[in-house]
Amino acid sequence: MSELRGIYGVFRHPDDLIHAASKTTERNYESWDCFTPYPVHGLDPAMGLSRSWLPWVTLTFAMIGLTTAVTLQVTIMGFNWPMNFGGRPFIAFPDFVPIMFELSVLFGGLSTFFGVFLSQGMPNLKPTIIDKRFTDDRFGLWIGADNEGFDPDEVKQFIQELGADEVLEHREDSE
Amino acid sequence: MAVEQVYGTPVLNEKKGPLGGPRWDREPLVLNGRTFHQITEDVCAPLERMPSLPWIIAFGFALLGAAIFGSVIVSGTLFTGMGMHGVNHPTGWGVHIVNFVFWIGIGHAGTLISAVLFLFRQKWRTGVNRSAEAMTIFAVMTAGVFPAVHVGRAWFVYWMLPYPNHRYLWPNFNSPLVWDIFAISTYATISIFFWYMGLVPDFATVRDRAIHPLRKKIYGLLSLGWTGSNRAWRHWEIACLILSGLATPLVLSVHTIVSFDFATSIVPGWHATIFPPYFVVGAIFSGFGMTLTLLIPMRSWLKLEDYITMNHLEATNKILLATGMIVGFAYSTEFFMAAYSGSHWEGFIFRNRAFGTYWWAYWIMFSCNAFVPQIFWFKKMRRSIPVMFVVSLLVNVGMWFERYVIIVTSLTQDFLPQNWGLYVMSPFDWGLTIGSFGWFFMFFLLYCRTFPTVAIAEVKSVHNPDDGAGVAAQHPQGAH
Repeated sequence: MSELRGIYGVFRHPDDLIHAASKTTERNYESWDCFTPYPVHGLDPAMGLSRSWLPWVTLTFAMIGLTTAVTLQVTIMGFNWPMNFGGRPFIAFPDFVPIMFELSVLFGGLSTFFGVFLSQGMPNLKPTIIDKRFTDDRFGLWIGADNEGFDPDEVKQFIQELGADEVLEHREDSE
Repeated sequence: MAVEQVYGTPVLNEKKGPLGGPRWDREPLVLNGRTFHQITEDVCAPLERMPSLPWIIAFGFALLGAAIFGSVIVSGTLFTGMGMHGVNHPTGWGVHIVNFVFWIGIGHAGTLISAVLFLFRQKWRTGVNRSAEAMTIFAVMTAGVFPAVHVGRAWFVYWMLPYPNHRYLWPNFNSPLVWDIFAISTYATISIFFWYMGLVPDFATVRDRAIHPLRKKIYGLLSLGWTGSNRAWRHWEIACLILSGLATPLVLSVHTIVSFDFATSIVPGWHATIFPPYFVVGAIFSGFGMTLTLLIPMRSWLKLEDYITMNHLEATNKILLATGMIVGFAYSTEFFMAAYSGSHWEGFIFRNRAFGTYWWAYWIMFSCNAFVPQIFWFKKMRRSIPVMFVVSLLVNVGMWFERYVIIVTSLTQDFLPQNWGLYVMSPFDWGLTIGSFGWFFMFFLLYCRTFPTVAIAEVKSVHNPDDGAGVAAQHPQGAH
């Protein structure tokens, strides 16, 4: 028995999707999304999405990297096993700067990468691929069946009026 | 509209302006009015057909080179020892460090294209960044082999890392060689993740086209379950921006730190403050040379001329011209500094470089790097495939010899004449050098067959959606 999971409209032009998204935002759905083959500029404000919080993750981890580098080098060179290299100070701070920089970048960069994918529920070995054209040349507007007061016929008509080329149902076998 | 007609200058379109007047249009980044679907088709096609004959032949040669590379390392260095190589007193740094610096330098162009040009909003980077970044990763992989071999006991190479051990030994953090380990490994890691970041949506495109279940499975795994949801794109775009912002100072730091390996010593010819910018520019120069060497055959074999257009190649040639002149300027500055410093040893080393035992290496370096790119002052030359291919090969040769000159001339004749010697490359050294090219090309050729070689999503994002299909009809003959 297959179950209706949601209804989606297929658009040909990104501008049509932006228009449709801004209209859908007004309806305050809980579960809806846009699917595009490339990042479409102007879609985030249309969907009511704010600027990504990702830079804060990067900054936090870059600072952790910096702290790690300082701790590592100062502890080793100054306390754990101080050695005299050509009469330099044990804690020769300028010499520690390159590794401080490298570890900040390493931690910041890795956290950025993992931040994007982990926050979006990836890696996901069984993703729901609604329509294969959304990674090629079509733009999709998805409204989930789990929204409150979801009426398939009403939603279909709504998407049709937004100018979608096709309005389709997505069904999956219930387990 | 043939590609040859396009001449890289803005085209006048009468009555296309906002008020009905004339409008000058730049040449589009994607030629021949491809639609979004055609972009997907064209880029994915090489992954979905059998390899062509040129690819098989090239791959055969690359495998041969990689086999030489591996057998030299395994049979020569690991089982017999460093005596198989030409390094000996006084030249303790021979072909290994030459090749290490050379290959690290090659990598720099990829990061420059994908990160620095991203920050400068250079949209043409979208056509070439994927392959340039691939080149970076394979070049760093090749470079990383050399220090491991050069330490003599490659199985103890992990001793270079700071980890708690029963010997209570730590690396010396005052040493630029330790900075190098951190710089190179950070560079390799960030490059791989930055590259993979861009690949995820494209792997999803390949997955959704796949017919064979195994192919679907493999690319499904690689795409991490990407669906093209805008909630993910929102973070993806910011992440690309952040990674560019991180990779830009990172790439400058890497070759700066490599140059510290030399500049912090007191060897004449190495002990110079000019080294960091000189090395970074040289790295970018050599990297762009290698980019051309790889992209020219690739775009023709994979039929990507509409995406890696003549304009892309011309822009690369302009960078080669500019960086080539900076490199030439640095060579001359070194002579000025040697004369102006009044240091006897410094002056001797530079006279010796240009007119001593290794004069031939010096002049190969100088002419290939400073003189040959001057041909790119002429637009016809910048847009001629045979010319730029030959120049790119000469740039590779010249930049290899730059590292050879720096290392060998300074070490063979330093302060005391009784300490002098000559450096002769043994057959094993030649095998290692030539083999490293095979090793590098092997990875690149495999990449060409299995990865989307043009960033599909990024090309689409700089492509005007109204430009596809209709363009040919709207602008019939030679409109752009």
